[in-house]
Amino acid sequence: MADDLARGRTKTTYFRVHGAELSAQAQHEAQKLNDDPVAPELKPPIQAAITLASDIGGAIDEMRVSPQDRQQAREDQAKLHQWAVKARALAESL
Amino acid sequence: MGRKGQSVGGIAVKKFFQIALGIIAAIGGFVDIGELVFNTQAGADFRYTLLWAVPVGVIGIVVFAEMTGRIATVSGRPIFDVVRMRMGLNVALVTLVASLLINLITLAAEVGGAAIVLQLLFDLNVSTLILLTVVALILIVYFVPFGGIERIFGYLGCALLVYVAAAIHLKPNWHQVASGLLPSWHSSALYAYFVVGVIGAALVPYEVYFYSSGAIEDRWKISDLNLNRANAILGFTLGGILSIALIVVAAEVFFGPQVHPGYLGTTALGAQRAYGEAGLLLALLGMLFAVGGAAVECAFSGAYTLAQFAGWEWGKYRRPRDAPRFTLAWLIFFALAFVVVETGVDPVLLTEYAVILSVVALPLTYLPALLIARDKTFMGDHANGILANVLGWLYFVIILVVSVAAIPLLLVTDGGSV
Amino acid sequence: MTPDSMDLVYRILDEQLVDVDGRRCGRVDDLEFDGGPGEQPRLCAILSGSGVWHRRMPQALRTVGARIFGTGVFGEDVIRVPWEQVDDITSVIRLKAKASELGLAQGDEEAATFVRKLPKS
Repeated sequence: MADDLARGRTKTTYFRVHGAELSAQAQHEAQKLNDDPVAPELKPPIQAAITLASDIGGAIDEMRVSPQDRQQAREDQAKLHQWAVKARALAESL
Repeated sequence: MGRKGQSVGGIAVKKFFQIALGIIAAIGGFVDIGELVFNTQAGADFRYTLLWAVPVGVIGIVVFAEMTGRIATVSGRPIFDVVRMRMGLNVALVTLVASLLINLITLAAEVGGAAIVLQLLFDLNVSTLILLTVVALILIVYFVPFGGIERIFGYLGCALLVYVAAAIHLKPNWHQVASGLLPSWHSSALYAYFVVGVIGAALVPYEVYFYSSGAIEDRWKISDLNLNRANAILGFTLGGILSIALIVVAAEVFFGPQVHPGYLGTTALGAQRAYGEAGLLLALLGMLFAVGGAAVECAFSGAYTLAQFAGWEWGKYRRPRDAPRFTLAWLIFFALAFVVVETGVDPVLLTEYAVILSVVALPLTYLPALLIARDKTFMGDHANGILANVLGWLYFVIILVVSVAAIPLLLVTDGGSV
Repeated sequence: MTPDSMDLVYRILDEQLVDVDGRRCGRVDDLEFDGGPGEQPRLCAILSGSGVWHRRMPQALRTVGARIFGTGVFGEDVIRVPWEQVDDITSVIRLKAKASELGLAQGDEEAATFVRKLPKS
């Protein structure tokens, strides 16, 4: 989605609405991880996952605020890509 | 002999176009929110390995719809008439209650889905859009004739063909796609759940209630049996190609990055990846009319089943005052669906439950249709031949297996989320 | 079965009733016979209406059925159509009179008072 936004290949209403759903889902996952009791040895990766989920939600929200800003979208797309790689590595390490 | 001033060739061309237009409407009318949700999730989670379940479901709906269309044409009996007459009061009553409940859940899901698509297009308050959707659908159903309703939603739903173009554009590995069409098995409950979901999404009973009653609404005669066969076989098969395209696009776009599409908006993203904003708009337009058309079919199906069970006058071809309980029934269905969706329940979740519960109730309507279709007392020369009987009983077994497995799989996989 | 005989459950029970104007007006929900013990039973009427449904339900559900669908009050939840009023048996049961003359389809009359107020009804 961020890639399409950066290249002007999407509709802003679509990005705003669907972005809100995805951002809310990311925030919800972060809250769930925060509330669930975890074993002490799992605390560092869980904390990393919470940070990732919050960052992802934040980046999507940033793009939703100004969907016309392609430069912003390109930066957020790069960040989201890095976080996706990190999230996958984190999931595999668990 | 042709009519005065009209050649035999002219009539043949007219007949050809009638058949072609019916098929186009059937393609657009085949996909509903169930297909959009289950097929996209199937492609995203299992790549091409669930493709084979689409033809299994499509052949099932072709067999079922052709039989019920033939029964309605030959004996003048729509499907719920057959259920009541062949299975008796008690089984028919259980089938009626189950069908009404499933119809309501499905209608709520379709109305909610249409409102979500409008929200994606216009970014307005979803509650207002739900109200607008229901009012617009009621006005269309009330004022537009039956044939017009079929055409409006069927033709505009064909915008979903953008997924067929997208599936080709995204250059999938065709060898793997072809392998996916051969039946295979994964020993996981989630895979089995999606097999049931993909087959169930193609075999939803409301489509058959609508199709069978539509044969009477359109006043099909014995000479229209070829039209029935063409609509059922070509319309649903070409509709099935849309389902396959949804899976292929989802596999190409979502399987790699491990995206689990839990929203209708994610389904639209597949077309956007291929064709940018134009693809997105076509996908959203197609979804709006496919889901809106399915909502109309659901509301009518609810009213048809109720009226046919109780013996009330029914039909859109009647003036509302000549079929008043039927008219009130579909109006009430829309009102109830509005209430359900306004509670804020997730339409995608509702869809999953609607499809799975439909599968459970399916044998109750399929069996009486099969029994009447093969009964020469009612069908005369148009009773099932050997092929229709073999396919009919084979699918009865498949439907029984799928219906028994549906609820346990729903529980074990927590609605496909485990 | 001889050509003069008919399987009543197969061909009559649960069938659609259609009046002389071709209007659907209920279903054959039960049948009424006369004739005492040792006599030939004779079909004398069709019963139509939800009030007789509970009689056809499994024993355990009859009380609940009567509460939901009615107890079978003639003229209210059950209409008795004399067998002489049957004109023909095809894929439906055709009657010789109008539904309103037989007391059938009363629910349609009630619903019509509302529906007639709608535009282009």
